[in-house]
Amino acid sequence: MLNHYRNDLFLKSGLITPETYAHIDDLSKRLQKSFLKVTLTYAFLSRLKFKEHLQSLNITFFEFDYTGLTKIKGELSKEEFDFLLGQNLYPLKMRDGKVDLVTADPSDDISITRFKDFFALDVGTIYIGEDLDIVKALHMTYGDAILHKAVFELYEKDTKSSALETFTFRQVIVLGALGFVLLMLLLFFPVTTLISLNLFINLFLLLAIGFKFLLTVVGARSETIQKIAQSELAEIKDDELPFYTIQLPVFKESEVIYKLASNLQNLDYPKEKLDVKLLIESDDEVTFNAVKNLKFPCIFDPVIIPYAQPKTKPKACNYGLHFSKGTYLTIYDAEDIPDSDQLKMVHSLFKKLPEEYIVIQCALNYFNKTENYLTRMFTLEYSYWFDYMLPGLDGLKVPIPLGGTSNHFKFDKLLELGGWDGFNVTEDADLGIRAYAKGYKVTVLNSTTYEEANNAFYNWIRQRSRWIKGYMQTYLVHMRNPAKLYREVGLNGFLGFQFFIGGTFFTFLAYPVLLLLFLFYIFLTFDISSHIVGSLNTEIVDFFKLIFPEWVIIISVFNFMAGNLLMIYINMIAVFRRKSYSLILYAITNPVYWLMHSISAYKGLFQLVSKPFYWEKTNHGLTKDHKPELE
Amino acid sequence: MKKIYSILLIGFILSIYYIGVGFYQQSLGFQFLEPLFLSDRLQLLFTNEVKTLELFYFTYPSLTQLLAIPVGIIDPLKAPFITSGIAIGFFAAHIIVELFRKRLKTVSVLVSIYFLCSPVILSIAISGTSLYLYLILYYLLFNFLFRYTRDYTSYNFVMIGLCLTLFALLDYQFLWIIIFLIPIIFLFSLFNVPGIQKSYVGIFEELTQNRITTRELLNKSLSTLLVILFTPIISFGFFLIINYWFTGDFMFFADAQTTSWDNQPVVQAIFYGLDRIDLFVFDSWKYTLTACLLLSAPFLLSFLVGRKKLLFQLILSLVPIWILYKLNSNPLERLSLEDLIIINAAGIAGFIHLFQTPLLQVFRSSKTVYVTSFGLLVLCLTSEYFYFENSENPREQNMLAFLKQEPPRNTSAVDEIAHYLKHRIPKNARVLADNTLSYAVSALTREEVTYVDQFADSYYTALQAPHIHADYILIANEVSNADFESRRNKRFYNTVKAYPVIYQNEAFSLLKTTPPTQ
Repeated sequence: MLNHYRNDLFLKSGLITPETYAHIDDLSKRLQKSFLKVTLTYAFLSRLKFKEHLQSLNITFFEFDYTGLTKIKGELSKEEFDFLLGQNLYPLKMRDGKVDLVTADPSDDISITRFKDFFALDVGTIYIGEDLDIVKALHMTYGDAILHKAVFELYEKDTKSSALETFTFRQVIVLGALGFVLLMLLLFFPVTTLISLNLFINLFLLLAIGFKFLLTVVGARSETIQKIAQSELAEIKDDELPFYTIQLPVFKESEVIYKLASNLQNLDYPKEKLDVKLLIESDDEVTFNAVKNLKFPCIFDPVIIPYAQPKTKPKACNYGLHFSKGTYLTIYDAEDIPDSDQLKMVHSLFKKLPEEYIVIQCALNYFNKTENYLTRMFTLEYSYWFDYMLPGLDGLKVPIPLGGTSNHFKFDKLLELGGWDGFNVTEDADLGIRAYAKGYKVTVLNSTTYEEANNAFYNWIRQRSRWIKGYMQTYLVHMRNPAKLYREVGLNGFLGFQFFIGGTFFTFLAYPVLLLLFLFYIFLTFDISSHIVGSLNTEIVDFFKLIFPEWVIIISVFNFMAGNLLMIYINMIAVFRRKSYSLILYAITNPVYWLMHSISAYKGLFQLVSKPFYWEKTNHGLTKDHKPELE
Repeated sequence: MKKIYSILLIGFILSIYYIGVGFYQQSLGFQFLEPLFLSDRLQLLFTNEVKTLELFYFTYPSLTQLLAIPVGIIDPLKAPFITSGIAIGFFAAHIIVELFRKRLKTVSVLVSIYFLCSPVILSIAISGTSLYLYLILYYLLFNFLFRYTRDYTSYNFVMIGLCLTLFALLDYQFLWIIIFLIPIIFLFSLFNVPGIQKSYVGIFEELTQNRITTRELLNKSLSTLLVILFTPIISFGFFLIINYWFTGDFMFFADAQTTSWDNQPVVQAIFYGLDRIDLFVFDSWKYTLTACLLLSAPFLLSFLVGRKKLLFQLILSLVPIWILYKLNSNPLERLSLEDLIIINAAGIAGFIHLFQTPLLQVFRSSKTVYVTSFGLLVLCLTSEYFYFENSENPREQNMLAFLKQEPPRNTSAVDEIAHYLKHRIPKNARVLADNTLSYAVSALTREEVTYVDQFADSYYTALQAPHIHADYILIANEVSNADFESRRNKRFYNTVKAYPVIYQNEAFSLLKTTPPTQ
């Protein structure tokens, strides 16, 4: 058996105080987790400190060979898996009817005894390992069944809702037929077809602009709506609060792990009611080692996601779902700084809302807003998106595409929906629509989570191309059966979906084409064009006049002017509302920002065909603004 | 019943009422130039393939035309007054329902009576002019300014910006109000500072004693100004650019005689059978003061009731400031309802605002309020009637004539020539006409004859050789060379005299273009 005593290891060594010790002990009993598990995952002690202490006692750690891990039995039940995770034990191998174990706590006889009782097995040799290595080994050995569910559960339960198949056979046929008809029309009625196409695109843009304006006006009215008052929060008793799961998917984000640890400490929610899951990919050594070497205590429980394709955030989150226990669940990115009372606000709002409300989306904004041009524009965009657009959708009862983080779910309903689609690269937007389609509701809450705005051009393009590709995926998935979608979400929802999800990528794709055509047309109306284009000028002008009759020009001119004006204006008022006065003038450069969107849209479109599930990773932690400029 | 359904129901009933009265007015022969102009442009827009872009973008006020298009598709001739009837109907319904929901039932009944019987409101609703838009937009502007003093949200700035943007398409000169809005916006920012004592002393202290707050205030004020100004100024800028782009003149919409119903000053003289000098006034102060006083009953009372509210008073003070500005910007012209209706609109918005403040309890409990409201109603109806009596504007005199059930002030010449063109000349005959003077006639006869006017390709060549391009020439009598398009071709007027007159009335002559026999 183990030859260390808990008192010596933790108390006499001064690692923790007696009061803390008693508190941990109490928690350990209540949560049915080992003493060390509670100590390390509820921010009582840092992993590094504990490791250094063991090393000072000349304890050597067991080195796992992750390629040669073996199972002690065919499949572990979920209960058995949870038991091993909770007790920080890894059953290494069976030898002569006894199991060799790896434990993280050299003083933890209690867990060993529990193991014997739970599995009805004798224990052989006991090794000491680092807790994170044990967690990783457990997931890599026994996580395959859960991993399969994480990837394919939605597909197997509800094939038509999964983006595994980008284009269905029927969609290919319809698109092919449309393409063929268009070609024929171009061949036989080239001018009429070009005018009709031009008109269709312009009218769609006109309606999309109108819809955005409507959303802005409706969203602007939400400013006066305070869904949860501070007095309501003050009345909440800690005992009444439910368990709250926070999922933190990370990938190669060693830089921000330190910030994450401190941000989580600021949450105004009883620690023992938090179930924080840090989702680390098994091949992400950088983050894994960063967590191992954290110098200060942190309040998260690492979950290691075994390797599998597609390597997407939704897959990781789905995997994490199986180890979560909260009544509510939310997702934050590693660098997020949520308003400290956000969880309590969500809890209060869920209590006030009817049962059908299963998701609450909080606002996102940026803490490094003035770092450079990109972060300023990103802040303008997000301020508009979360302060006007989503409340506007909410006000019009149109499906809300969820944002990447700070969306709070009722856990049981999330499971009922089948979790996220592991093959959709904007799984959050897709889930919002899916929730509506199943008769549930999503709403927004004016509590903000501050994130790190992307501050590098290529990084931004990568991120944006993924988002736009995801919108395309979501559109294709839900438009597999338009009639069904219409029945499920109603007229408002259907039109909102067309203009908001469809309209978003369509606008970005059409914008540069129309802009070029339009600018070229203007150029031709000036005298200088005849000097540059020479004798060709008249022919080109005639051709343009043919495909741009005056009434089409009226719509194009209006679209161009009104569209750009509206986008500039709505960005202006969004940051005005956030009191970021210094950013207001940057809104004028919005047309340039739109062109960047268009570049991303074409990249996304290309990837939709070539690599539909490829997750363009956004690098975080690039900001040099370490001091958040929160208002 | 839900608010929206109540508004829809009452709005529908009121719209039917206004449209019905409008039809009755037309049946008595009352006509107004602006709706005729609008009808003519709508018909051209739907049928003409030449200058579509010019017709759509440069017909001014563009907003009036834009809003009349949906009804215009069904009947361009009736579209202006049907649109104004519907708009005023729903505007009135909104206010009535708003008051009713505040449990001010008696007041809402009195307001309903006002909307049904008020000479000003009735004239606005049934004349088919742009006045309804002036009333609604002035009201919205003041409504959102007042509302900001209640909730201090940026939503109100969005709506104020939107109102001003719409003004750019209705009466761009109103954008000068922005100058007078600047101090109010500054005070808005000041009053929005948390913890500030909302008194003159508090304001003075805040301005002078704390440099950081002062800078913050300045930032906020400038940003607010930008948020309010951006859309109206840029929209108007875009509008000017479109003008320049397609016509080479930034102010084409204001300068060209074909773009607006009153850009050709003589047209009113023709339509109402007046001397041109009658359109100008030289005792403008006295005239304006009387007109303002006669329209200001709700305005003054709301000013009085809200006398203890500094921002409220300052916002209301925009009205006299604006009227003074308008008066000084063109002292020879009478201020018409387009400008003066701001008094009514601000008064109505002021009362609606006061009903949403703690004063509401006083309004509910005090019986004096009901007596005062009744008195105000009687005063409004009477003073508005006397406003029309006092008015020297021919259009407003025409409106009064209808209210008094007197014969129309507009000449019957337009109807007579239209009747002749419809019934006495061959269908689709080509008529050369100067649209700036004859749009009232062409609006009534576009279906029967083909006009060779500024919106036809052959117009300018037709001026050179009328007999080749037209079968008839329609000219206004008593029009000097300087007024007619012929100033581009001075010989035209002399040439035209050589053609035989086949019909003539007090305003127009119709000539037959047999080749000249001189």
